[in-house]
Parts: sequence; structure tokens; C-alpha cells
Amino acid sequence: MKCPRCVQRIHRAASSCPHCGFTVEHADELFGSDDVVLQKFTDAAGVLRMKEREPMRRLLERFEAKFPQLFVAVYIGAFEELQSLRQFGFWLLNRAAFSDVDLERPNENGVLVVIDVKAKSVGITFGYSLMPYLSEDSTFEALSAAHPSLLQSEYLGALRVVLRRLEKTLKKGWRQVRRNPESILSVGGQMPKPAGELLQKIREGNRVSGEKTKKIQRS
Amino acid sequence: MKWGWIFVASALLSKGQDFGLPGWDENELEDLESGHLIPGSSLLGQRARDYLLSENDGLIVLDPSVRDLPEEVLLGEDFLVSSIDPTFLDRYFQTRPGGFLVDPQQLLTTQEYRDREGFLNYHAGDTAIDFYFYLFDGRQEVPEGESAQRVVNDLFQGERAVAVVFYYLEMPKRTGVGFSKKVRESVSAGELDKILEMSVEEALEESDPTSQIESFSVQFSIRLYWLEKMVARNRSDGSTLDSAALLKLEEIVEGESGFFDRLGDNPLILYGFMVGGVLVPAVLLGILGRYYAERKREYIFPDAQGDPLLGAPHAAGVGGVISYASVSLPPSSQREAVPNYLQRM
Repeated sequence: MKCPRCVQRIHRAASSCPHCGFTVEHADELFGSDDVVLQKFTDAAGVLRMKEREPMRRLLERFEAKFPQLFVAVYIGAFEELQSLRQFGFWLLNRAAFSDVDLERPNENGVLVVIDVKAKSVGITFGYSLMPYLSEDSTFEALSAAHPSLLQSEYLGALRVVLRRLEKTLKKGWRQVRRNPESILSVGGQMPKPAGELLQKIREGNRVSGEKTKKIQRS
Repeated sequence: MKWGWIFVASALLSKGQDFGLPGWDENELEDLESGHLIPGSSLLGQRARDYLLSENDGLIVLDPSVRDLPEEVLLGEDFLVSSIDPTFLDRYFQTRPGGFLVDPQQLLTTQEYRDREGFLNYHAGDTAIDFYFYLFDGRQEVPEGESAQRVVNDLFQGERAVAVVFYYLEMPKRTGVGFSKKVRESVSAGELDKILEMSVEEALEESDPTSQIESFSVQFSIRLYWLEKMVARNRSDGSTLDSAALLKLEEIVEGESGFFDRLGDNPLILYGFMVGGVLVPAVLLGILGRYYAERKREYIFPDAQGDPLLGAPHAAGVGGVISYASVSLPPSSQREAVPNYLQRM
């Protein structure tokens, strides 16, 4: 587990980064403390053509059909002052309420892909439930595979490659966790959860606040 | 080198005059110019020269001794010598042969025998009408009363459709053939004669006796094959032949050379058929089914819980970040793993 700001390794139960003291409040200071309502696919930069939006939607739905507990959200923006894509991704996945994601898929089960078309960088953030299966290395490999498409600004193609790689990694994790659930879950700082608590968590998961954050710059 | 050749050539030319080589003299040149000498006429003989010099426009009447070609020497009765050794008669005419090639006199070499026998075995496996090939010397004559048809009638009757050929080495025209009753009832005599005629013609195109046998047997086999096909076709089209007899031959064709009969005869083929026809499609179907099942499969992860990190309610999984600003740098060099908190803060 690494800190979104200093990218130093931190303990799985750390309430703040022991190296730089980073917490979610620091991110709130930067981007806003209120929840934001978004769709799972948001092209704030307006780089995707109209005819590419429907394939993009199908791409995300296909992922959800294969993984009924999970979802993938994509945010494409052109940020003016954003210094750390990691921090933004970390903040957005914790503060976003995805209006077109059903309540059975809380943000803990989400994968967020953030693309900054101005700084030309892409980052991935994922929820707690996916920590046993995804890592910085595996997500970077998925992004690396999409690098040729990214260089040509073919974002739909790039996301298709990224999702395919992520699916592959998740399937591998699924097979492993079936064989040895406790050891695999413990790698991500997780442990099996009783069924009753799940419902409560789901209800809390996609809570929506009335005020929207204005610090997300959409150009 | 070039001057050397010129020297040799000139020396030879000067020597040639000494040996009296032909040359023109003045009189001959005058004859040529006056038309009395026709170049090349000396090659035509005295009679032609006289004719050319006589200025006669009529046709040349050739001497009958020159004009008429010598008559073909017909083979007399004494040409055919009944020289089949009595010891072979039993194997030729009294005993049913063990193979399709009957050559007790060993007129063929071992290799030729094997080649022909192999071909006849192949034919037997491929068509419904068996083809028995009896080989005799070209000058031999079968004993009186013996014939291919007699052999068929006595030795092969009531079984498979059979054709027996009496072939005479180097004398394809003498070939005799006999067919079993079922074949004769199904196919007209004209068609059967045509088979023999075509095969003999094919053999006569070869000069070598072995090649003649090969051509004959191949052609005869092909004709039998097409005969079989014709019978089957006529049956479906509304036969012009006798339908009852045709049905008999069809029964032979279907009953004795059926695909499943062959399978039963050869366990190896049966095994191959099972592997190729059953296992391979089953494996392919399995792969296809697995592919579709994989596509339709839903991956459900076990529910889990853990302590929150950095005070974040939902997510603290920081994944990879990659830059695509540089076209020349590889992706691994554009991994944004460098801490930037100092810049930020």
C-alpha cells in the first residue's frame, strides 16, 4: 500500500502517511470536502467523439456483466493546476457518487481511471475491496499496454486495452481467492465479511450530498 | 590462336585440291545455265534424272515392285503353339486362384508381378466387380473348350461380381474376357465388349509388353469402375437396363463394398474413424463450449472488510500512473512514481 501523495509504502492500517502525514482531509482541502455526483463515464475534457461514447458505455457494461460486484468509472479531464493525479483519483473515488452505478456496487468495489489530457497522464485508483487483487504494478502494466493508443490520443482504444488487462488480472485474483481466500484477502488488508454488514455498507456506499465541489476544473 | 586456325584451314584447303575433291568445270557450268543440269538430280536415281531431262510433263509410273508395299505376314495356325505345360493347366483352369493375378508360368518378373498384383488388389478394394487377370504367353493357346467365360462359369459363379481376363503377352488383341452372370444380366453385351475393346486399344499404344499389361489392366479397371457407376446412376434415373438384374448388382455393390463393412474388416480404420469422427469434433465442441461458458461466466469475489486507510471511506488503492507525453520514451520510463509532495506542499 502506498501513499497517494509521496508514493511511499505505508502500513495497511495507517490513519495517515507516516512519511508525509497525508490523509483524506488533505485531499479534501485541495479538491473539496463535499461529495460530487458523476456518471461513471465523464468526459469533462470533451475528447471523445459522439460515436465513441456508446462503445465506451458498452465497454463499461461488459465489465460490470462479467464482475457483478464491481464497476469501472472513467474521468477524462484537462486540468490546469493538477500536480498529482494520484491524489485526485484517491479523492474522487472517495467523494464521488456515481449516479448510474447501482447500489449493489459501492465505491469500495470500484476502479477509477483518470485521464489528464493536458498533462498527458493516466492514473488508476481502486477501492478497498480490490486491494487484494490489484496493485500498483498490475495497474501500471495495464496502462503500459495502452500506451501506444494513448500516444495517438485514441482514448477509447486505450481504455479497451486497460479494461481487458484489468479483467485478466481480476480473473487471476478470483481463481486465487477461491483456492485460498484468507491468505489472498489478508494481502490487501482485508478479511471475510459477514453478510449482514454488507447491506449496511452498500447503503452507505453511494451517498449523495447536496453541494457539488467546484474545484474540479472541466475544460 | 586465331592465326593458327587460319593456317590449318588454308593448309587443308590446299591439300583438298590434291585429293580431287569435287569442283565445277566449265562444261557443267554451261549445262547448269542452259537448264540441262538440275542440281540435286543425281540424288534421285537414274530414272528420275532421265525423266527430268526428258522434258516430259506426264506422271511417273512406278514399277509395281517399288510401288506395292510388302504384304503383311499373317500368323498361321502353326504360329500358335499350345505350349502350356500340363502342370500349369490345373492352376489355370481347374482351381480357383488365390489372388487376382494368375501367372503360374512366371512370365512376369517378381517386381512386375508384385506391381500388377498390388494394382488388382487395390481395384478389388475400390470397386464391386473383382478383376482376375490370367496371363499367358503370346504364342500359347488355351486347351480346347477353355475360355475366360468358362472359368467364370465354373469357378466364380454365384458369388461376387467378377470379370476374368485371359491376356496374352505381347498380343493384346487375343485377349478374352468373361463376366459373371450377375454382371451380364445387368449390363448389355455391347457395353461389356466395349470395355474390352477400349482396354485393348490402350494396350496397343505401348510397345513394351509390360507397359501393355499395365495399360490394359488400368484401362480395364477404370472401365469396370465406370460400369459400376453407370449401373448405380441408371437405377436412380430410371434404368434403361433390366431393373431386376440391375437391382441384383446394386445389392452386390451395396452389400459387399459398403463403408461400414470396410470399417469392420479393418480395426485400424475403425479406430481412425472413431478418433477422427467422434473425438476431434467432441474436443472442438468442448473448446467452443468452454469459450462460451467463459464469456458468460460471472466472477463473484468473496465479501471482505478491512480497516480504513488514511481516513478514506471507500478507497485507498493507489494504482499506477503513466505519462504519454513523450513518443520516444518507453512506457516504463514514463512511470510517474517519483514523489511529488515536496512540489505540492
